[in-house]
Amino acid sequence: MGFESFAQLCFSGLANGALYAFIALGFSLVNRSTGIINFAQGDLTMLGGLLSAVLVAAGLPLWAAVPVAVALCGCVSGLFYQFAIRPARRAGMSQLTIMTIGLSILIRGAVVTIWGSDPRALPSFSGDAPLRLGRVSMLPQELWLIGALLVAVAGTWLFFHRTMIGLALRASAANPLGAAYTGIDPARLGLVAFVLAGLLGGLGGAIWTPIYFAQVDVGLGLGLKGFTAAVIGGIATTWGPLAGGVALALMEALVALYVSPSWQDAILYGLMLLVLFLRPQGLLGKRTSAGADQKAVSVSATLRRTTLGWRDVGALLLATVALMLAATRLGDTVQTSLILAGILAIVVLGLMLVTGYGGQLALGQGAFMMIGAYASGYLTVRLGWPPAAALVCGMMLAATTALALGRMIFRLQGYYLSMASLGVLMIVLTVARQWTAVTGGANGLIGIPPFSLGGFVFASDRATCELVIAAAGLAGFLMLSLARSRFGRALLAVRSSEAAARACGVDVVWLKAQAFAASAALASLAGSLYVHYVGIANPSPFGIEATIAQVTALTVGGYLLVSGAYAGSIAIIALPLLISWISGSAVTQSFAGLQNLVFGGLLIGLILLQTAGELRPLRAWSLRPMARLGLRLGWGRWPT
Amino acid sequence: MADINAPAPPLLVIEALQVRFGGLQAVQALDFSIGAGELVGLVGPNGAGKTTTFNAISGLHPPTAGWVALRGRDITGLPPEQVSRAGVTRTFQNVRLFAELSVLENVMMGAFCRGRCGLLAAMLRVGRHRRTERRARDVALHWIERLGLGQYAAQPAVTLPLGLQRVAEVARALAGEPCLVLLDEPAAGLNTGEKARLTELLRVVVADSGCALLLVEHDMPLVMGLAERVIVMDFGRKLAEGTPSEIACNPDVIRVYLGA
Amino acid sequence: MTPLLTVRTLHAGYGKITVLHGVDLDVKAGEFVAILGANGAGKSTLLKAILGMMPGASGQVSFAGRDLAGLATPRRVRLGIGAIPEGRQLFGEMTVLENLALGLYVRRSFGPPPRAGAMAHVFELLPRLAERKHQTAASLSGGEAQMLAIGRALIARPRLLLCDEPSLGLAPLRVAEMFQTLDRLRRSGVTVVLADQNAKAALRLADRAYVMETGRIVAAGTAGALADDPRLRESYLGG
Ligand SMILES: Nc1ncnc2c1ncn2[C@@H]1O[C@H](COP(=O)(O)OP(=O)(O)OP(=O)(O)O)[C@@H](O)[C@H]1O
Ligand SMILES: Nc1ncnc2c1ncn2[C@@H]1O[C@H](COP(=O)(O)OP(=O)(O)OP(=O)(O)O)[C@@H](O)[C@H]1O
Ligand SMILES: [Mg+2]
Ligand SMILES: [Mg+2]
Repeated sequence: MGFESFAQLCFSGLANGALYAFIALGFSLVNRSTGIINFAQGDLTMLGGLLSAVLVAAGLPLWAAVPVAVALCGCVSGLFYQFAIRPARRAGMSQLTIMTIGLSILIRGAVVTIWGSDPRALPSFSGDAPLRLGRVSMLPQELWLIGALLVAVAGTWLFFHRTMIGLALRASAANPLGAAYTGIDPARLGLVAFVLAGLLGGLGGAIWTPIYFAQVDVGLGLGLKGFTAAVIGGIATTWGPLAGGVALALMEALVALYVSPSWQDAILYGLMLLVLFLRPQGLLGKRTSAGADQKAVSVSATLRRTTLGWRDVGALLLATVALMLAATRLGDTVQTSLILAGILAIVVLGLMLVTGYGGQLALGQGAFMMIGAYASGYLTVRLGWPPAAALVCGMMLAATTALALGRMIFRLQGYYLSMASLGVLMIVLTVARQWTAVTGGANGLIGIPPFSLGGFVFASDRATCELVIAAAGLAGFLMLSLARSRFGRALLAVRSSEAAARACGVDVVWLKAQAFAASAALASLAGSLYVHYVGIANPSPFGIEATIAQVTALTVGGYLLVSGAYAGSIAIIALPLLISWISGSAVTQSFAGLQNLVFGGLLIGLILLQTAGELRPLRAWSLRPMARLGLRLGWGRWPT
Repeated sequence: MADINAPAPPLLVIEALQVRFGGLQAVQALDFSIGAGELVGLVGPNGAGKTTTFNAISGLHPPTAGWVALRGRDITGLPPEQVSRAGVTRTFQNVRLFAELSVLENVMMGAFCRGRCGLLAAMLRVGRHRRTERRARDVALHWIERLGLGQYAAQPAVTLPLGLQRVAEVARALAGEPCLVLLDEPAAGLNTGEKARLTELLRVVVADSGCALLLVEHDMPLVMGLAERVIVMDFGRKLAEGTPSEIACNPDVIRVYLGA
Repeated sequence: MTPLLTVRTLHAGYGKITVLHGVDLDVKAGEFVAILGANGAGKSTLLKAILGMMPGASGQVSFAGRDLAGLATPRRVRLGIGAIPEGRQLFGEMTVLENLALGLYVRRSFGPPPRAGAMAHVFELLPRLAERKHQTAASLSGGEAQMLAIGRALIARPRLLLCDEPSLGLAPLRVAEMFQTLDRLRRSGVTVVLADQNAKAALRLADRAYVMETGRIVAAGTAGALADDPRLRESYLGG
């Protein structure tokens, strides 16, 4: 390849990188101001482009349409802050972050419902005649994008370092209590950050759309790219988002050129992980001093129980047995739902250990589910192993992988686990799609037999249902037992002060890696059970949507509650059924939109219900107490 | 060639310790040693490098140069979890109790380094886990009683008044069955009566467990009353070392630290 | 003199635990008032409640003739109540300069942050801060961090300054200086409320003092009278 085409490639990469950087800048802005990771940033970007296109199509001139669209994005983001985040501010960062996933789903739902999911075009700002520099050609629109990005980065720096509001925002993220002592109202100022992030997203989207198209589906992907760029660049630095975005896009372009594009994601995220391992603080980030705890944590005086009583175990056992007995009498739909809910609950229980107790938002449990799924599929179908042996083998494989990964990942702090686990998910997804010889590719491995144990085949739905419930009960017991041991105590301790925990002899990396391995084993178990139930192993049920469902179930059920994991899982499975039942069951495109709309709204609403002080009277009706109440009626105290 | 008459080797030896933060030499060319069961004070102006020395010994922030040896074993740069296992535990200048745990559980966490039982043992509740837990609880209860925290054992640690939180931290450090405890300003925020009580408690600790104490404290009467030997730091270096009475009338020390 | 701060039958606590059982307090403009009490008596809680940081507190707090009921902490701070808070509450990842600049947020919430020159008077009082001005607050030594908390409170020139253990972590020489600073501050017209374990020094500076025990005021009077009170001598002044 000649130099010119290489330069051309780099330049095109740069333009893409500029978009990623725009989104990364939005992530950075919100994170530095409030500590939240705003996963709706990609969708706001999509919305900016789409609204511009819609407005132009409606007859507005371009110069008016773009500002209006950008302003609308700012409004959406601001309204979301004001009516969702702000009332729930006292919740943990992870819960607020999940709320932004809710917004992301909500935006997508609204867009599909109102405008459908067809791509829409927008005219370029200043013609389409390419400019030439030597033999490298560039679109004027690309220059617009790069120019706007540079202005935005410089503006963000000025904002955070040269204005009192910017300083005050950083202060409120660092220490909200201290902020109040200096007359800052963090709750009020957060609005500024969200509006700015909305504007930034809208602007990026509006400038980018003429190069590509505006389409509803790109939002999620863009968001993940932007998040990746922000993390690898260093989310709390000025130039980090820019460096991260450009690095990501260049790597993407090079990988696409030199390696087969179908492996692109795997190699890309592999490189990302490498960057993270080599520079845990991000490309441009600074290492923080080891002695200081990261942030001033707000001290809550809530005691967590860390001992396990017979009553807890008894309640769990009774609930499991009762549910298994009930399963025989239930209708088909309910049985199917219970199976799916049980499988989800197993994953969520593992997630609870890592995210709830360990305080690290893991976004890649799907990867371990796939390990279990393909181990079961391959070993039983191709090698003729008994399912139980394959299942155990998968769990061990998943646990070992997680342990090895964990040893590297947990040297990193903050959002790196989210990023790294997401990367692992992407890699495993790609491998599952491309390594046809073993995985069967997108078609999947077919003909997986039902699960069997010691001669008994769990062929019917009813038997599978009982099996899954028993497995979920057992998983619940194991997690409860772990959480209520010196192990769980150590995890809680690390959350309040890593330095003190280490001084007490806790090897933090090892501890978290073990927790991660346990969660991976459970995810693998769930994956195996799932493929034995449906008879086919393919990548689609384990992707990013599944991750969102898992994380949502965890959040809705409460972060540290075994009973909550069950309740949340049932809610997540039951919700689409309810929606389709209410809306007359036609599975159409607008149904998908509607479902997203309701789902996103409910997700936000449920978290609000659990956390917002204003809604306290309503809280009696939220899921968690309901789950508790139902079980308290029969069996005394329900394990928490 | 062990010579029975040779003095016992000191418990902790620090040689040419240096910690740099960029251009700033927070600790430089620091030498001292501590004998078994000895009570040593470490004082100096604000920013002299006392906490940094603690961080270097306990592994929280490894030194840029120099050696730390415990009972003749080189522990320089070991991570904190291994230092605590080797027998050095500490308290923190800004109290760092675990917010979601009770006083008893906090102190039990102190014994974490003495337990050896992994995830599977804990998950399946095998005997080893139960034994480890019981031992941790026994040690924790012993120190809680000894330090007079009995009535607070079941309370969340952060709801204790500050003074008692500091005592709880001392208990947590002792639960690790250390041979040396590093105390970073244990008496800050205590009133005169409480300081006297703490002094008594620390004496009891040394008598009970035979472990040595290295004590950083700005309250001079307390240090003078408690320590057998005092080391004074200034600008990361050792300025003086001697018995409390020697230190109290050392002109350098008076000039930079005590004031007239 | 008019009362600047009045507190009437203040009850406050954490969750179900009530810590303050009906506290009354009067501070006149320009006065220096000390609050004494053992560990856990509720001094910090009282200061926090005055600033509106105790949810569920009941009773009346008024400042400069204005009832503060329903005002959140930032609003109260903006009325001119400054604080050296318990636990310092600095902004760890930000530099010393930025922390100090935020001390001025009550005076200028918009526009660029003040330059280092505008903080000269603070650096004069606390020269160590000038040496450390580009270091992050999290990397300061304990005493330096305390100085920063003091500096951040002073820079806004509040009308009323609530000091919660300002001498915590300071070396003996610095403690003496800090008390001198508070004294000078009072002379320049700032009203000071001081809760410190260093009861002797506090009583030496104060005009009046209150003594708290388990959430109640058990004694009040001029500093001189309290310093001579035999019961107090025994429990707080060390004989
Ligand atoms: N991570 C860091 N980066 C830069 N400087 C640091 C860092 N940590 C500490 N320092 C500096 O090193 C010096 C020594 O700090 P240290 O905490 O050891 O003091 P100290 O003797 O404990 O003082 P104090 O009595 O005030 O607690 C201080 O001036 C501090 O500002
Ligand atoms: N977060 C909390 N949750 C529950 N109780 C608390 C909390 N913080 C303090 N307390 C309790 O409130 C009481 C008063 O505490 P406060 O901090 O006001 O005392 P203080 O007089 O300032 O003591 P100190 O000298 O230790 O600073 C104490 O008994 C303490 O145990
Ligand atoms: Mg120190
Ligand atoms: Mg206090």
